[in-house]
Amino acid sequence: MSISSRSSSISHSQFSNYPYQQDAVRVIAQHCAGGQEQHRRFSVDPQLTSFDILKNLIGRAFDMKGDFAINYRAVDDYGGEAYLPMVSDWDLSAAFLSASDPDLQLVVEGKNIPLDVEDGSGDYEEEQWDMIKSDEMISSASPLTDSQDAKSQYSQKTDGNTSGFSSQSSLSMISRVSSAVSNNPQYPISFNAKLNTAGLFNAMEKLVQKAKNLYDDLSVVTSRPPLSDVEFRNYLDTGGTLCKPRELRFACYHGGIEPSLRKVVWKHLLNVYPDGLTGNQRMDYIRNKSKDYFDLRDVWKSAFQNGQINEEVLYVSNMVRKDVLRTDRHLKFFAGQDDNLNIASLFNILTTYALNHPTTGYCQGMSDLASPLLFIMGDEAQAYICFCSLMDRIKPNFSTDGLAMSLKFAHLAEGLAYYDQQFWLYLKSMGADDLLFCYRWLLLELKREFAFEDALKMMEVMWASLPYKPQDVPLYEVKFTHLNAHAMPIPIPSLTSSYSKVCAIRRSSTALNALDIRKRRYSHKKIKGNSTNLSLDENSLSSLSTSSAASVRSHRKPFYSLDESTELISSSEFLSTSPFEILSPEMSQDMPKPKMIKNLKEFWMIGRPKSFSSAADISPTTSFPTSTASSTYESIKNAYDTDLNGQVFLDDSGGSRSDEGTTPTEQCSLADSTKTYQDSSSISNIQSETTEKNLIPSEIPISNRDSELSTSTESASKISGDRMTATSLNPASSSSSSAIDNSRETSELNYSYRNNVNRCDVEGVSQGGESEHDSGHCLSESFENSVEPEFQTGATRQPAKMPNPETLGGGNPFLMFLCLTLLLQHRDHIMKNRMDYNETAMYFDKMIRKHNVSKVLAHARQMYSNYLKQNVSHA
Amino acid sequence: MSYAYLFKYIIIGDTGVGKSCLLLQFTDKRFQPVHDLTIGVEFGARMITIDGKQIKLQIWDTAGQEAFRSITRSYYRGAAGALLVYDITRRDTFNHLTTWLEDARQHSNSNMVIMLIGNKSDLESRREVKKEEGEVFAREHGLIFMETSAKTAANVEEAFINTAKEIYEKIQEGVFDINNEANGIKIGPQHSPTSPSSPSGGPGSSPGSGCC
Repeated sequence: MSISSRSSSISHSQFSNYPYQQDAVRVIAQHCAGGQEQHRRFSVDPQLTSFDILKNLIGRAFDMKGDFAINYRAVDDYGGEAYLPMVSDWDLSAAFLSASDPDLQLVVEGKNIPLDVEDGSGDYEEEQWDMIKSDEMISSASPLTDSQDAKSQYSQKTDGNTSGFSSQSSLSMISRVSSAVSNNPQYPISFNAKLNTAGLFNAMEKLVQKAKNLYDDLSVVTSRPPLSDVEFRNYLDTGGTLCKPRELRFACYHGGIEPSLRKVVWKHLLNVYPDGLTGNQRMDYIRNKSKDYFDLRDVWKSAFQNGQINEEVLYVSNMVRKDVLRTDRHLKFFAGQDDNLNIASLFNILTTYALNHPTTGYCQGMSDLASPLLFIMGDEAQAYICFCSLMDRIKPNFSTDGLAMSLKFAHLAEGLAYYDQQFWLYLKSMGADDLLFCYRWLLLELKREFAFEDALKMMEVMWASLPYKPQDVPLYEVKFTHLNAHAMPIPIPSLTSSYSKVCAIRRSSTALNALDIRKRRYSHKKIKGNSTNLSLDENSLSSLSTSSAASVRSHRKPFYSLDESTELISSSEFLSTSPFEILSPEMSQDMPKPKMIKNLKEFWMIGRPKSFSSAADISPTTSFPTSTASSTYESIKNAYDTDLNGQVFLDDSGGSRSDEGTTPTEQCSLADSTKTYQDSSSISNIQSETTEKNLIPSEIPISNRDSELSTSTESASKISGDRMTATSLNPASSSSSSAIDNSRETSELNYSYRNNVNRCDVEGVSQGGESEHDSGHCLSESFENSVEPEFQTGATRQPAKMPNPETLGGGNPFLMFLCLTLLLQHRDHIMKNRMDYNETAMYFDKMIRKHNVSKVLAHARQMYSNYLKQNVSHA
Repeated sequence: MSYAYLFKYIIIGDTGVGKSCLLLQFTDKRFQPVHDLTIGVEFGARMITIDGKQIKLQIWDTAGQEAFRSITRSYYRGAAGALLVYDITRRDTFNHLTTWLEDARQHSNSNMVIMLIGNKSDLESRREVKKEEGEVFAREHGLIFMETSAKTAANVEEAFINTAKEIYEKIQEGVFDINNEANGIKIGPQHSPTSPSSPSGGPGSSPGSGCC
């Protein structure tokens, strides 16, 4: 057992960031089949080789048809020899660290379990989502038939039961079971993928041919080299048309792209082109688009140069100018004086974008996203085209309604609770479970967390994981013209930008406040006259102030989701009043007193609208208190449906979110639906109670995972009508079925959870509860109700399942695994040093641009593949 | 490192006024002319000594842009001190103070100490806001006021430390409920919660001993 404890300590503490000393580890694998021993020798790079990769290599080496177990030979301090089961990355790390000198000796045992994974993957292929098929992403070929998935790996290790002698490890596993599986000794072994490009390419080709047999080949490609020129051309037909977009993405996902090829391939990954263009057509396309861009740009530029100052242009250009001057200036590309032409290009791109996309406008962080595009494209217009396409996907992050960001926070939290509950509980105990230190990660999709060059690779890998979506990229939402800029009055309804709306709701409903917001919006409208200078010199325009901001902002539409579809159509009836009314004093006086965000938790809770709440929808700052955030939108949707139909709509199971993933579009529409709630509430107070119902729960931080939570139920007795439903409040999928049943029984109850944990914002929360009492509105009773024990016990439970790929991460599931990887790679260090909230946050702050891209990608890919596999098998 | 008290600060103000540079100067004693623009919130900490007591300052540096305001707000609560920063070379950043102040007052606990800071005092030639104006504003709104330069470090220590002194004084006066962490104050591991130390010769300060 001395071995056990030893390997345990190693694997536990050093998995993530221990730099292996060796570049390559020699592996000798032994397999006994049909009474005949076979050996395979190969070497692997310990930095890049995950357990799944290794398992796949071995599977191929012995042509294993079924699942099999791997044991490695370890020698303890006293020279005793033992074979330890290897079931996870942690074991592999331990083996690399302690048992790989001079070589790592493995014994492979067939388990003789038939596989049905292939069937699953076949079915999967017929599914309609266009993400790279899970089986392609599943780089690891270990066909796990039981619970031996990522989750169990992690839970094993987080149990503290990290050694090979965990649940699975019985000595019987070590005894060699002969496998019935026939093997193929001729199978060529050349696994040093890094060195064998041609072999890789062959593997790729084969992969395309044998779509159903992917498990055999994929893992080898995991550590494939970056996409090369030659290889890329194989995805094009003779006319240069991209005929194998999925294969291209697959290759980029696994290996990235050679830097010289980025300029060409990024445009494909970013979905800049319509489908089926030949090489020449693509060039024409870009030429035309570039011309369009310059036209768009010249509108505001010439207006400016002619001295026709426009508030909007001023506001935007001032904001942008301040930010481009401090974006990636450490790069040579942007270095030097402020008149660096590349900075000017960045400025032009962002300003043009903001002016021509009034709903999105300019927001800090965009410069970080545009900078790599400009750097790679080396051309302002092309970078703009790419930026438009990228923003098309990311812009919800910048939406002031905060929904997209909140959802991502919620999913990240859920993922952490799922994959590493120990760390999650630790962060909870430190009050750091709001994960706000990940804000930048999520907003910028990790762009700043890696050194610039590394970030380029990370981004292309991430983009490659996203669906191929050919399109004719629109370069504007509403064309900015000098004319419309002037013609556009400052319309009253426009004051309800989602932001101001949030303010209105959030701050308080008093007339004073509402007026105050208005006043503020109008207060700084004057522009200084001397500001025609568009130069990038900070002085020139700095005095021009963001003051025009308020008025300019008001041009923006409240929500950008005007293109929303079906479900929302029926909501139009709710839209009969102007959203502006929400700000009107009378209304706000009459409205139930909304609550303000009182603490971080609440902010974070925004994204967890398990308990539906229109307030949450309404305001970004407000919260969607919910526990397992994943089904967030569904629950909103359900509740919304309910409200529309006037009938109770029960979420039939807290965990059944996988079937109907909510698309980003739907999310937007939900945001709109929110508005309708709000509007309806302002229309009449008859509804206000209902709406208020909806509003309130959202404001109460909820987390059913929180063991220290005091949970309270809201009595339904005061709910008017049956419009308020239990759906909204369905306990997390993670919670036990009893909890769900419970929610059914009390189907008209709202569950509100209150966080009473020993956090510094405890008071904030509880005061929130009190003020609710004070306001005397119908929720107040709820807090006096007793706690649902299920929720308390459920607090420490792991979620049963992750959200499905369509939903996870708001359409970018791989990002979630990248973020999780960053967290997991440092969890030991953080926990060992007992870092508190601030220390943890500072620690990650200091890691800015310092994360190790290869390790992060390898780890994230592996997690992602396990996740997808699980998803396939459950599907 | 052990400390008698931990104070939580928040730095707020328009974008580009130098919030992050102030923090960096305070925690790392250096100036970075081109600082990454802050996304969301960033974090810093430093130990200082007041009245012979080690006090840990935990500082949250927020993004200034309006779009982030919704999350900035959620930081107010649980802060014992706020540095409200404007740029003396940009009048608009001064004009927006009222907004910031309202926001802070509304979302923070009522005892939060707010220090008004006119930053970039080294750029005298570009000054748009007179020092007197800052003083008047501070007086009208009951704030402490200082002009600082994150570049030259002028008054940076003082700004942070004077704020801490004020908080410390309020603790001694019993204004703050130190057992309530929502006030942004935490008692250190070795400090008796029942007796916030009696004043011994008035609070004096000395620059902190390194970061933590």
